[in-house]
Amino acid sequence: MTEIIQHLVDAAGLASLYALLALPVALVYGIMNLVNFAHGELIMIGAYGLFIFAAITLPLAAFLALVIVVLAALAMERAAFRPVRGSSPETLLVTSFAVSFLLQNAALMIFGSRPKSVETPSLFSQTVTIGGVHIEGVTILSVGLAVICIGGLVIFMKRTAFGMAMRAAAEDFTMARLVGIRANAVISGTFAISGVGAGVAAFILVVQGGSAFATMGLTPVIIAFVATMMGGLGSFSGALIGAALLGAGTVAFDVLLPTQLRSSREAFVYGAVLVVLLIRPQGLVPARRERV
Amino acid sequence: MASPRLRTITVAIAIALAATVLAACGSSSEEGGGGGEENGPITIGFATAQSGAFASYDKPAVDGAKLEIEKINAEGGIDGRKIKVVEADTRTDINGAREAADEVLANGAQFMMVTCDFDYSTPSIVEAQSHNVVAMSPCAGSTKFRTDVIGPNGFSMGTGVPAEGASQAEFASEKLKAKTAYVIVDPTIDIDKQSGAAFEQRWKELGGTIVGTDVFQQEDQSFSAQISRLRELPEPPDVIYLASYPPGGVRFVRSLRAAGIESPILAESNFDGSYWLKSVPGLSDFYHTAYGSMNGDDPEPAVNQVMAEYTKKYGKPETEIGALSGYSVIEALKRAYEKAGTTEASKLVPALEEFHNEKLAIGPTTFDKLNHITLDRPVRIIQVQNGKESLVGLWKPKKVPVIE
Repeated sequence: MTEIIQHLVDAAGLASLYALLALPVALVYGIMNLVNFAHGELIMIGAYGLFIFAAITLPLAAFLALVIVVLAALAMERAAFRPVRGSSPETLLVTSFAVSFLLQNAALMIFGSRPKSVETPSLFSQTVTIGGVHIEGVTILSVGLAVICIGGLVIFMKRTAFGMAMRAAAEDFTMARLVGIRANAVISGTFAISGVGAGVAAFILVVQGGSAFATMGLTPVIIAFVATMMGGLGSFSGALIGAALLGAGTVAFDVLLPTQLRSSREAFVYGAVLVVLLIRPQGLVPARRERV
Repeated sequence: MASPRLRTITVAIAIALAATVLAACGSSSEEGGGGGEENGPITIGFATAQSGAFASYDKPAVDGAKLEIEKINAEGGIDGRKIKVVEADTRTDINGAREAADEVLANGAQFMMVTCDFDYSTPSIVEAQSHNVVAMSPCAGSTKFRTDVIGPNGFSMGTGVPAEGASQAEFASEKLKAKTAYVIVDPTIDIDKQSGAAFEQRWKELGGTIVGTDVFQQEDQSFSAQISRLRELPEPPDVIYLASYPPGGVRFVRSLRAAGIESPILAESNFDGSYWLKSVPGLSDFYHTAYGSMNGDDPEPAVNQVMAEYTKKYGKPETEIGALSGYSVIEALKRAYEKAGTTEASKLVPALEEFHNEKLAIGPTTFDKLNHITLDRPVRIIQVQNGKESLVGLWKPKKVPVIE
């Protein structure tokens, strides 16, 4: 029994992290049909921000890093995506790849290829044991931040005028504009929120790994993309379900596969994703909207 | 807007220009390679990673090589022929490795130094082979540097990674008095699979018990399943053999220690260089292998001398592996050239294959008709205690398992 609870705790930790990765990608896709592969580089910027400011106290460093990521997200939208807004999804996708490569190589030039060590308080490197179940500090952190962020986002989307404008825009962008919602404001706001998500994810990844490096955004963005695809591109709740399933599935395969097969775990996880997409090509919770 | 006619002319000019450039490349590559002229300078091509992840190994390797080249040139060259260097960046990219090789070959390379990894250097070696040029990787550790795998012209100055796994097994058994071991392999790169297998085999030969094996992936975002399985053991293992590399390997070590698993960890020379230590604050009981000690306390005077000269000229290298092996690539070329009298592969390869415990700065070097990498060279064991690295000593493996 403890063993099962242990695995559930582990799965919850990973699913929370994946949800924090997937949500911003889903939000941006919902608003402007853009699969933002440069979202990983926002995470990387956040991690380097933590590295730069780590010398001052951690809460302040985390805040400053978050500000930098949000500014970077806004700048990214203004400089790279606004000029191609409304273009075909392919154009947007290629643009996001270009931004991603550019930022990664800029980071390589500035910081070099070696990972930069970031010191984090030993508080997060502790393990709490309750009734035989071990809960790592980073698991508590991931679950806590995911609950706060997702809860905050839900309230924001449901209760504020801006949130409602975002939802309207996600459902039908043209119609939303016809009734007077300002496109620039909504899109910039969405990017800012995706920046917050990237900053929070960067914090968790740095606490977990203790380092920042140029290519650290690659795997997270692929996970985010797969989770949103599986959940239904552009759907908020779909992204959450996709992230939860992907996290739980990864832990499940890790636990259940025999040692010889474990090195091919990714093949099993993504094989399962493929099966889901074959059965439901539009994802588990398809977005409610018509695109023109 | 330009008229259609004007546009056609522009396109035509562009095509003509491109053709000229291509023709120029073609003709120069015909001139270069294959030993070429026998009197002018010897041209060495560096097709290495000057950017991307492998740059931390390859940059020191290029600097180490240049250190020896300058010395040779100051003494009048090899057999009176000075050394000229041409360089191209592989960008830590497999396709880039082929392009970089083509570029240095086109610029007349008669000998090539390639990147520090088997998979990433293979495309360069294939290109070198087709131009009858010998290519040597400074610090790739894969035992696949065999003539029946990679062809006759590819070499590595590195130490075959099974020697590292075997040394760690012997060290843990004899010095740490360990009886039980847990082996964790990150199968993303080939050498980690090889070193894990070598450790396991040698450990069993020494009478030790393997209490479990596991794998994780370099890119994994969580290691909770691996940690749970380690916790489920009735007793913690005496040692954990970790076949991985930074940053994933470092994240794994951090997670292990955060989970309260304090067993001594044994690792490869991939963990060489102290840059990552701050990621695992206060780390203790961590042992990794290395090619030499950077701190002037190496048992071999030749290593200390190269490191001192290197540090004086370029500052402390990110990894000593690169600096030392790059230096020795040029040492090896000089010794082999003095026997062969040419860079032509048909004569240079047999001269290299005569190396039997040849004393180079990196240590005794042996090549033969089958193995183009040294398999039984002594390693250094470096320990980390309270977040500080120090040399434990030189370890000459008594037996190295054959891993293919």
